[in-house]
Amino acid sequence: MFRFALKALRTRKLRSVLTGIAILLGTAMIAGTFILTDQVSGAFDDIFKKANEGTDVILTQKTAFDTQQQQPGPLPESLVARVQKVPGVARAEGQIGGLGALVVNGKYVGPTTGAPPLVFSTPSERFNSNTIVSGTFPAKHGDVAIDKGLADREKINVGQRVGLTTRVGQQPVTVSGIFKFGDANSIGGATLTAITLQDAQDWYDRKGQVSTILVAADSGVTPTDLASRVQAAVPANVLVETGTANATRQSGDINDNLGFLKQFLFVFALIALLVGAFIIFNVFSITVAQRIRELAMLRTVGASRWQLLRSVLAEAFVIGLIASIVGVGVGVLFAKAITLLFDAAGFGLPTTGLQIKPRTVIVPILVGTIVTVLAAFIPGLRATRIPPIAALREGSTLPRTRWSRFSPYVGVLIAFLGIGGIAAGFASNGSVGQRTGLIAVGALAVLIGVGMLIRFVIRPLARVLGWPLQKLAGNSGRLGRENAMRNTSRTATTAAALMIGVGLVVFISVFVAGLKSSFIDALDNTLSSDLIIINEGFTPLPLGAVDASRSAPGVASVLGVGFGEVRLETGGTEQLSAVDPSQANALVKFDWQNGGSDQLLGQLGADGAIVERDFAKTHDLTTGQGFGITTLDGKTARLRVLGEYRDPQLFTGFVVSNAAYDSLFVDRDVGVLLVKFAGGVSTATGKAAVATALKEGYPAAKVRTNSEYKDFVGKQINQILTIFYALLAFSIVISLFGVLITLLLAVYERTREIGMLRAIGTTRGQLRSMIFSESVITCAIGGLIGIAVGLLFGYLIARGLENEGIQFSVPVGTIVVVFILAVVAGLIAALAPARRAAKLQPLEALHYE
Amino acid sequence: MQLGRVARSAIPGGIGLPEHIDTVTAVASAAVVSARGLVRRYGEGDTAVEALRGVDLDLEHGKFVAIMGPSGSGKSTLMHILAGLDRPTEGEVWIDGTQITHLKDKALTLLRREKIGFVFQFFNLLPMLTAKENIEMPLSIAGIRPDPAWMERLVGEVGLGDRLRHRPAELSGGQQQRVAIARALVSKPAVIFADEPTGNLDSKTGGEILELLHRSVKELNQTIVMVTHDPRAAAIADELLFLEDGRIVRRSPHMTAEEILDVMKSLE
Repeated sequence: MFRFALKALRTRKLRSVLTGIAILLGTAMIAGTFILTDQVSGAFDDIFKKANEGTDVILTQKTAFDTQQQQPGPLPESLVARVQKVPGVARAEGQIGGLGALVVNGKYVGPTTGAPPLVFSTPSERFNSNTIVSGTFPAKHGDVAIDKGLADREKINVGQRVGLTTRVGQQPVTVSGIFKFGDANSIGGATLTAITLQDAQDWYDRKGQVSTILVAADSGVTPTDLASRVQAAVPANVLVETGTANATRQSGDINDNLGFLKQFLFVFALIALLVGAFIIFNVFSITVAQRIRELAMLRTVGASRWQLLRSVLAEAFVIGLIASIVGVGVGVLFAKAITLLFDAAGFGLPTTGLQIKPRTVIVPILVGTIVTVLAAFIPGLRATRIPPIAALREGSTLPRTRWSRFSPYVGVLIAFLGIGGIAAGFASNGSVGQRTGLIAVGALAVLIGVGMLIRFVIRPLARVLGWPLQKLAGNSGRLGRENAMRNTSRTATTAAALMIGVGLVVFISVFVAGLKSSFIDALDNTLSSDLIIINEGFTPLPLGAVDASRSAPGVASVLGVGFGEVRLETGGTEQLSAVDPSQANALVKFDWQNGGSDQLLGQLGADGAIVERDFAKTHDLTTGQGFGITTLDGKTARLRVLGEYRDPQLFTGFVVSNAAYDSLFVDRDVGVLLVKFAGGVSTATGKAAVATALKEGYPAAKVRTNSEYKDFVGKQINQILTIFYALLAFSIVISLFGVLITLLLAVYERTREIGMLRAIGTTRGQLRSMIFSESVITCAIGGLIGIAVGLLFGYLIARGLENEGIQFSVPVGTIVVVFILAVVAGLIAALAPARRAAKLQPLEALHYE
Repeated sequence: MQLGRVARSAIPGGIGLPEHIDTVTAVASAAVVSARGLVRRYGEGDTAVEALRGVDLDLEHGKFVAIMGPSGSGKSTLMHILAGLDRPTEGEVWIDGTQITHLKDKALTLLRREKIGFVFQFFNLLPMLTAKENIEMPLSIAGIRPDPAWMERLVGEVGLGDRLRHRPAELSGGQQQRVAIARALVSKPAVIFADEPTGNLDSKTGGEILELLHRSVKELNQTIVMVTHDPRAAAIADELLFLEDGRIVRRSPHMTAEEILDVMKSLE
């Protein structure tokens, strides 16, 4: 039977290849995701390993909780001398790290990707992982050395005078040298700037302090040994690790983030596989139906039902296996494509050379093969129900399985369970993972349930959608419509595959439109500023920028908002914002709850807080109560609730005064700077004045009017959207292959009909229009139902996230474009089948058996 | 005949043909179908097989012609070439005065549309269309609205009055072939080619179908060329052509089934 299946594959090469493609792309996405994330995490492993190469032990401040938002606080410089005295220490040295980028001829030249602009004090040779390629490392005040990547990109030479943005504003510096990081020109798009330790302390507000202490061991002392000796000599709030352990921990943190990327990409791979499964199911259903006489003949010569099932499954197994193996190879290209895609969207990722681990090969092959075999299972079962007598009959049709009459009820049930699952996911109090899982499974169920139900709406939809085609293509349009309607299950499954991709595109566009409009509404409703200023590359603005902008002519009020993350006594971490109480009411319109007013701002003092409604609800806080917080550095404080406001978008968590912020946090940076002009100052004049005031000291500050800022945020969101769309495009391409195969099989099946049509005077052009019409109708149905499902998902998520301020907003333009694209895709998918149909000679076609 | 005039006027303006067809020289204008020196060779060199070895014929309007011959005699090949479904290796064919042998595919298609009707052994109806829609198919392809009076008459003639809204799967074999015959007649072609029209029917139903074909020739003034190997079918024809080894070996006016059987025996 297995040999029989192999033979069947060989005689139907084209079909097998096209079917294989349906599963190949999904497995390529899985393999590619493994390859890409391995490459990225390998790159970070290498970076941190290289960075700690000469460091045996490293000291940092212990943090109270894990966070990606803040760096650990400083250590006292006096600790360096203490560590130096520990027996076995060859050398101990303090180092400072911070953020800042060069300014060349007045132009900020930070990283072009999302990577950070890193500044660090130059360590001594033993600890230095960088290799100078021209000039020297900074030896005196005002010297900087930069990475070769930046030097090449901006054509910066040794000796050139440039600026460096620091926490205390721009500093004039001279490029003393250019270096490589190990062998690399740069690391993952980040810019590297080395300065002297003294400059670092001055420019990063670290007088008498260091960020880390690097320790080298005497020969014969192991790093682990040394670490425990050092630990004994330093206070308990200092974290002592070996260089290797530190590198592993840091790349581990990165890997946690990569884990998200991996899951994100896997979701799209699974969607692609689901689409592929629909197509496999369809192709095998059609193939079994077309081979009905052959299969019945096998029954008459004594093949058992089980043998027939096995032959169908064997065919699926071989297709699935070969396609998955090829898919792993294509995965390398997919990894490359995703790297380029992320680069283009402004999220550059560092990658090492290609590395393929065993699971990169095994998992996709296993998943791809299993999905293929499972998808072929129901068609296989139907093959077993062919009676032997069918071998003798002309035009026998495939018996349906025993359960098929329940399928509409099952479809409705699954779809409603899915909707229930999504709703429950939003309503539940479980962990984020559980809730997302529930929502995802719910969405999957909706897609499958709707997929099962499409066949009941094919006829009415085809009738409506076919009408304009009949007007346009006359009889060919009508025949195309009739053909689309003649096997509703087949058309339905083909359309369902397209529905998935289209549905998710529409869902995401609905969700993002809601996100955008709620964010923009929040900006409009909450801020009364004229300008919104943030630093390039999402780094914080130096505090000095507040006074600098206040000094600009025409400026009435300035509010620098500081952000921070703290751990709550009641559990979890929360975002806080810090404001100047005297300026806040001029720039922020709080939506006060329970009778609060702007007067509360004046009462903030050093221990007062106003809290966002959701925050109060989560932590069960009412006005007058107190709550305990701990900062990353381990400082604790107790804050008093003065009042409540509602703002799920901008000032989430709670708000304190600058006074409280200063006592809690080491660095008083400004996350966002809001500026309001005096009456009668035009936006253009005001903006120009503020830009001029900031240009010299704070060239990284990006001055935008409110509407420019909204555009900026919109563009950022659109870049992320591009990634989503590009990943969903894979699924849509797969579903088009489904349309293509189904049409090819239909042409093959209807050869005699086509021959008759040609004989009685149908031209090739008319035949082509007929196939195009069928394809367009199928794709338009898939598109329409996809749009409906996408809107349903969008609505459910908007309802679910109502408390986060997400609105339900329908992007009509996008939906129209999606529908048009679905129709165009239908035309493209029909090109080859239409050609094939038109090429049939009437005589050959009539003789065809 | 009266009916013929009604039938012709049912198609307003007739079905237009591309101009270049009209310029083709017409020969043997009295004949609806003419062929000169038809040779059909398959393959090349030593392995070449000649299905037709030089056939000349002229078939008159209003006749029911049967092409007979043992299997392998070339009768199907001849019909395919006469109907413009296949091209001869040598020789030429005229349909209703138009030389079709060198026509391009598009022109040939349009000629088939207007001048030729087909009846196939396996009916070849479109399963998703009703009987009426199947009958109207040639007109739909040409973008012509069917004339209700003509349709009514045609449907009455083939005896399908109450089955028009049924799909092929709901019709018996004989009914399906009636639909196919109506489809062949609907555009009033110059000639109808029938390929073993009774081959897939029991003898009683087959007889009815032959009767219907015969009536179309007489009452609707049609011309029918039928390929068959069934002497009883051929016995209804006005004229018989016997083929053997790719040549016409005998032409004869109407014969009885027994006479035909004798001829066939002598050929085998």
